[in-house]
Amino acid sequence: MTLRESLSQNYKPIIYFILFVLIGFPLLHPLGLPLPIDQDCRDVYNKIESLKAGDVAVVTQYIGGGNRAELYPQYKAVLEHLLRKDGIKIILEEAGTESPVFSQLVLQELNAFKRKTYGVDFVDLGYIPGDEAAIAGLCRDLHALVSKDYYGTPIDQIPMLKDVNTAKDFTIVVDITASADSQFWLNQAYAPYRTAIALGMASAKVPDAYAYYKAGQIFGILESLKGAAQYEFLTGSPGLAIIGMDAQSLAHLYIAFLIVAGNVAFFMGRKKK
Amino acid sequence: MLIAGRLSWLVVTLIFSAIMLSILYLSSKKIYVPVIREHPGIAAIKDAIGRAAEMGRPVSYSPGTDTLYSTKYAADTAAALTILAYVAKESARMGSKLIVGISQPTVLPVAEDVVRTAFTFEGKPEEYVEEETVQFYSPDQWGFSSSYIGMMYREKVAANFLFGEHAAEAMLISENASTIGAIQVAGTTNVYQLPLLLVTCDYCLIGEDEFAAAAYLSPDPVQKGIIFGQDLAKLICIALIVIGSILVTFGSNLISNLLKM
Amino acid sequence: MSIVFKKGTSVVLFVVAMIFFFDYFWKDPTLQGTATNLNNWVVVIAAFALGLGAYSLTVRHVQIIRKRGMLMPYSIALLVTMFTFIITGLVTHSISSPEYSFIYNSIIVPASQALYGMSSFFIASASYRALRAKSYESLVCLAAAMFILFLNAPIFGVINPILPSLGKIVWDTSISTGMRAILIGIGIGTLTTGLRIIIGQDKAPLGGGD
Repeated sequence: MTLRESLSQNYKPIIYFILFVLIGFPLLHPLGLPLPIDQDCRDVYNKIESLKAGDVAVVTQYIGGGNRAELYPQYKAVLEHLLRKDGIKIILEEAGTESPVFSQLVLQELNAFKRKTYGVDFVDLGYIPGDEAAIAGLCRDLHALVSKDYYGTPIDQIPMLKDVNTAKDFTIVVDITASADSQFWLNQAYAPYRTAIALGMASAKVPDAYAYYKAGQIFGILESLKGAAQYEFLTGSPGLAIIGMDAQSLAHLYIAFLIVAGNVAFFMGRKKK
Repeated sequence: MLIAGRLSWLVVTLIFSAIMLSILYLSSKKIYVPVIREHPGIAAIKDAIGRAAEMGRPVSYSPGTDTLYSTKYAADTAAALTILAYVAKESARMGSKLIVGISQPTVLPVAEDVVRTAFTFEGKPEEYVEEETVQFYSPDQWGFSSSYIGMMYREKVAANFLFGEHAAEAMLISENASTIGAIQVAGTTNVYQLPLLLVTCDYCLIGEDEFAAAAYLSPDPVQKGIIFGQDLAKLICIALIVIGSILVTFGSNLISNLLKM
Repeated sequence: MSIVFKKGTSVVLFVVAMIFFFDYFWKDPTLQGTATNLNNWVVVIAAFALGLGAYSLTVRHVQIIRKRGMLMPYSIALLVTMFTFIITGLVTHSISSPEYSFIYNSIIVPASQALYGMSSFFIASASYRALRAKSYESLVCLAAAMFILFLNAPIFGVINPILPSLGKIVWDTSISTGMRAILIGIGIGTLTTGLRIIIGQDKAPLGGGD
């Protein structure tokens, strides 16, 4: 078997190995590539920066074990920004079965309980099943849907939720998801109540959100790991996302090379015939 | 009392609903049944099943990982189940073993009913094996994809069909199926996965092609009427966009003001 | 399912749908209260659906174990893992307890991330194997894919600043226009499906035809 024949039959392990090295190396030795800030990410930052004392920020997420690498850095960066501001009422809600794990993790990592007062500055409503029905219920009448928070405290005993009843009382909603619930928040919160919504999305879902951003129906997007890295940069809290962008850059460059190489091989093969 | 700002939505919803209901009525009574042309994807499905029968290897089918009551993808799942009925009939007719992988427990009884009925229709009810022909894997996308991929490798499927809504597992399943050497036909309205399926599958029904193929294959005239009704609704949307764009260009906000009422 | 049950379900479906429909357009406290209660019941039913998933999984895998099928070891592993999670969560009353966190971070996270991460390797091999410019349409598709790659990775801006700008042009002009068309189509499809289910034309959610 010639080298060319061997390569054409066994190319997959070679491709996978090179990709593994290109992703692994920058994670261990960050390259420090420049990071331009997209306008949609900057809009999220500016909106949160403009929040005043008494404003209500609902942060909802659908993070799971699989999309954790893309979405958890966004969640952490946004919550870090919100926790730095005084007087903002932060409502956490989880849309997936694994999501409460990440809410508890982020609260521990950001030292939320020491920085702010639970029940006064932030509350975790926990996982509410039902996808769009859950979001509809939160927007219609939060107190009718949720009787206790994640820790079992009755809702009517939580001071910050006394005047928060419907989506009209939400100043902003930030939905961090790889699922269809971005659409649900637009249907149930933006369309009837004109609530300001920002979306933190996995990369595949960003085009969907971009149509709404261009139409002015959402005020910003965090585009996957890139958005998380940009937000970490804007808030001055560098983390895994910024490091991960170097790996993503090299991987994208490699994919572009593979596309070109594949087409060169294809056309050379056609020419030979 | 009508809520402010929703009059235009009420009017639009009523108009579209009236169009749909009229078409549904006309097609259900067979007064007017639109003609849907055969989609090239259907020939691809038939060829794939024929190839599997020649090779003596089974056919695998996934109707998606979403439910029949999902807001976004219920129609997709319903279309996938209609196409499953066709695939089941063809598999029974050509003598090819069919394995259906199910993700959602609520879709499982519907899929079992569809396949059992199709096999009985072809006079081969004994081909349907309880819990082997239609297999429930997991509602979790990774649990489902790893089970489905494992099944494809064990059974060495010759043809793989991915219809309905598939999320990130679409790429995994289709790439593994191509490694086995299975011919693949896919169809989904999930635009996030379409590029990946287009690249990895031999034939891909894009978006509404799946609905059109399901309507063509279904004996139910209402399905054909739905395609026609949706096309009419889209024509109205196109007209609004074109007229609105022209008016805005000449400084008139008539259409946008009407839609804000 | 009997015909009477199916017809009755269709009638209930229609009435509930009309309550939600009128609630969206009419301001009426009674209607709003009824719609809110019905909506909250959906949340309760969704919680039961979670349990249904666990039940279906258990039944299926117990049957595999009883038949001593080829996949019996995997079914045993699945059931042991599933019930370990359930019992740990119930005993510790928390999913952030050290015990639950340990098994979650040891089993679910690595398995999910491995499967999710595998797709990047498959995209790489698919890029080489399948992304070929076999026709003018596929050439346009390839070019668009390359431009979007330029936009999403900062390294292309370092190579040449014009590359991300090309990506931005494709992103701003074609992405939102294309997505809007698709979203309109999805919206119309959703309306049609909803109408069919509401008037009882679509039998699939009720378990198939008569």
